[in-house]
Amino acid sequence: MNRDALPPPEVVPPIELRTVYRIAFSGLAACALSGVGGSILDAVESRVAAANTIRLLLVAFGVIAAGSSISLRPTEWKIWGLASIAASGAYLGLPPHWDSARLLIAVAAWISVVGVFLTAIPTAYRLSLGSVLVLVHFGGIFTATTQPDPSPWLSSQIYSRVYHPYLTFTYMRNAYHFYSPEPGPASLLFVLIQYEVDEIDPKTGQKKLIHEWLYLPQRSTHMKDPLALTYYRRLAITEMTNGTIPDLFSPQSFEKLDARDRRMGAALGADGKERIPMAPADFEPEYNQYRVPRPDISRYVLPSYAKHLCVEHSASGRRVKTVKIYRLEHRIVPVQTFVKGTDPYHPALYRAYFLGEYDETGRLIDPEDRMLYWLVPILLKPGGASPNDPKKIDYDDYLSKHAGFQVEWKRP
Amino acid sequence: MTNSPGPLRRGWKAWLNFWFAAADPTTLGFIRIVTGCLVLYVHLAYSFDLQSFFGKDGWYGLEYVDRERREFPHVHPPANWDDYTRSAQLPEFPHRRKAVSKYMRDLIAARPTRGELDPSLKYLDRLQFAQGNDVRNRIDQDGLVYVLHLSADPSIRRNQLLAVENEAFQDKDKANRAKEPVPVLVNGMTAEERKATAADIEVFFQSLPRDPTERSYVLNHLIEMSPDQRSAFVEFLRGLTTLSPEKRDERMDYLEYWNIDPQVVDRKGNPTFSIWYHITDPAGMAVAHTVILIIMLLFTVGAFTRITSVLTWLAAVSYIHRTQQVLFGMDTMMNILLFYCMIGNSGAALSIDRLFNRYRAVRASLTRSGTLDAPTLEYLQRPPDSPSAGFALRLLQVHFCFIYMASGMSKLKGGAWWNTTAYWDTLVNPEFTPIHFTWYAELLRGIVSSRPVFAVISSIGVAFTFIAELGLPFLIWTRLRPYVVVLGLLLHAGIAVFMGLWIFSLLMMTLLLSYLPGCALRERLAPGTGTRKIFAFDPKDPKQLHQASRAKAIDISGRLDLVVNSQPG
Repeated sequence: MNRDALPPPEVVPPIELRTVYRIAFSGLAACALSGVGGSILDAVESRVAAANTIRLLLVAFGVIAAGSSISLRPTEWKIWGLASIAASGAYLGLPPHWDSARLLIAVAAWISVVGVFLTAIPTAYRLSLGSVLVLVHFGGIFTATTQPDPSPWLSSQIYSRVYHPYLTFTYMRNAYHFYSPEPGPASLLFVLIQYEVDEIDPKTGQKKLIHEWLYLPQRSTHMKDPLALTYYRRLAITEMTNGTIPDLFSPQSFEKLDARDRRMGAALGADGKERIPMAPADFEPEYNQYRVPRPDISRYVLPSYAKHLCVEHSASGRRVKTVKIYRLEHRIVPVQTFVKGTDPYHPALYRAYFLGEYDETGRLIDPEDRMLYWLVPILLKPGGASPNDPKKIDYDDYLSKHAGFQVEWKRP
Repeated sequence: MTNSPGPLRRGWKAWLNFWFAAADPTTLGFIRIVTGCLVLYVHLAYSFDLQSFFGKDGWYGLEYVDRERREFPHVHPPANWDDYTRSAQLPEFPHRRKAVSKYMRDLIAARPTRGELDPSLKYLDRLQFAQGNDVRNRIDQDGLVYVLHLSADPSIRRNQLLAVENEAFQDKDKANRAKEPVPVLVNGMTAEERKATAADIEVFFQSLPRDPTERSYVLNHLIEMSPDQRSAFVEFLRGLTTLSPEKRDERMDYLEYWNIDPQVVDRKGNPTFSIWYHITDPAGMAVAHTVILIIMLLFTVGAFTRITSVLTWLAAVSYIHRTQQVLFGMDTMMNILLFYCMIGNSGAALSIDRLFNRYRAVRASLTRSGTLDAPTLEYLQRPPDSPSAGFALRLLQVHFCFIYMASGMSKLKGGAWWNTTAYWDTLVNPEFTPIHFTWYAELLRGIVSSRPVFAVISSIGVAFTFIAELGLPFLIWTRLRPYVVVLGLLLHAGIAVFMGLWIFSLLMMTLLLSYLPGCALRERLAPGTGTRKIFAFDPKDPKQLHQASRAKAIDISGRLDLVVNSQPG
């Protein structure tokens, strides 16, 4: 129980020191036991799962007991000392593959050592040291706030060399630059999932393939809680894909020349495929029509997403074979067109970029796809909807044409 | 004459008083309850997506996050006027990367020693040395473009290289189609040097992939690199010859995955921890998640708060570290609140812990004197001031100022905040705002159809945001504090309603609570008055003593009077 808000001792008698020591020593014993046992098991390279479970339980008990003893007598340096020894034992007690827990315990051990020091020194020194810790902490917070470009040299140096591990460990790296420099459009993912079902297609004599669009995020399906947290989590997932390489258009890029050649082929309908024209420059500037994802996105995030979708959507009787991923930037409707009646969800307000087709292992199937990383335009028809069209569709949806499967455009 | 303390001593005292003065723990206790409820909600919502977010094959798979936390390369910015240390690199595009990586691996496999490898790289060395510091001429690029156009047919290539060997065959003005072009590098060389260069080109060419596309990808890559980068690339290859095959593969794997030479990396991996790195089977995950929810519930109600606050923070960060792809600003705020609730004694008020301590205080007093003495009554009336609660509240307050300042100042960079269209962008963003409701869209359309009205509203909106974000860090320390807190609350209420970020806003409002005095909260939370009750007991009877202590401990409203019943039986 809490001992910090201490009334005069006669009001709430403190827990007996003997009891506190008993708790601390029981924690120490559990950690020591796990440490000794763990060291032996590691030395003989034991792979017995039950032994690991026992080690983990001993460590959990030991660490909580040691922590409890500190909470009962936070001003006793000896208790902090016992806790630091317990943490050292716990470090060895953890199985080696629980490496992140070992890191945590190592940090806990160091905190205990600092605790010993802080409680053993006179108050004046303790306050001085506390002040230093406050300054160090907020120094880190400050450097984190200055990290987005343009970042001062000094701040970058201190952040990189001193603070990064601390701020990463505590997840305090945020720069708090919300909606800056300015609010931008959200990114969505439209994924065309191709399933192979346990049914033979009479036309091909092979397993039947069926397709399904997955729209991420979608309020109707992804809002599972009243405050829409599940929806916003998915929006964060899709937002992760919106970083692009800024210097793509460097004249030295051979790939750029190849990509342009391939894109021209797509515009002409090469390989017998549907013709996907370039978007007019007044609709989207040409430099903005080829957006290569940042390396971390193309190398790790997209393959992981693809693999996840393949696993998540496979079920008995149907296996996901490939996924085609499109990132859609949902442009914010300009106020001048909004007042004239433009729907903020009009398909022409979406800028779809093809991020590739992936197999079930998360491998990009064709890195030389003609449309890879290019804008797949959804263009307003010059004369508006055809008078004969009962659906009054006033746009050309090349996204559906490129995917080979109709996107269902609807308001949430 | 009085001895007044000097300015330094006064400053030091003021500093200590600012950070370390004991404070009413009620505010922190209330923050704990609100934070706990929100944290519980956030983690209950995770129950829908436990596998999808944190499972082995989650959105960001375990294999990816494991490599990231163990291997992610960190390179410090240069401490002097030099550029970053150059590293060997591979092309970003997968087909090109594959070709270059294969070239490197094959090259080393076929020429595993320095002596065997060097001839294959000698031409690159020649280009490098010829380049010197003159980056304008790009002799190196010219020399590589030359190789790009060499024929794969040995007999044709032989003729092409003859022009390198012998000046007589050389097309100096590049106009004579009967003569062969040569790299600029050889101009001015002696006949012997030219011959040696031609031989080096041939050896270099032989080391390149046989497949013309792969060969062109390798040459493209070498051409696109700056001289420094190419030098690093060549040195990387040479470095591989000093390693065992296993170590060589390890280094190549690292380069292929992270696109940086591990030798130039200052720090590898991220110091993160998560239970979800280690527990990956669905049943185990469900059990662990349930235990975590129970711990969070205990933290919320303030049971064993010193322990559960630490465990709650560790658990919350466990989710955060595992899959950063699902995070947004809300998680940052939640983490801040939990971090400081862990540092301060957040269970000293409005908690089960407090009830337990009340019980012990009553029991001790009754045992001592058979009645409730003055210090005990005072203790029951309000929790004593706590230094750690005061410290945690200060940390929250100052951190909040950092958040607002950074947020406000960063907005000053954006043109949309100056021409006020940023306000429109936040008001109609289809993924955040209620614009999907027809009534909202129509209402908005009606309002903004008048341009002056739109201009005035958006200007007020932007000005309001700046006044709140840039003004609060200063004004909050003045007598205007209550008004500034209301301003902040209004800002976040607006964000909640118009942008749908309810939990983020509620967490920001919770941070704002740190500026409220504990007495104000206690007054609002105090139960109403009612009829007084009497509890008679015999202090000598342990059972009755326990019952009396318990009754008084839970008597938050102070309506219960304990009366000693001395009558036997």
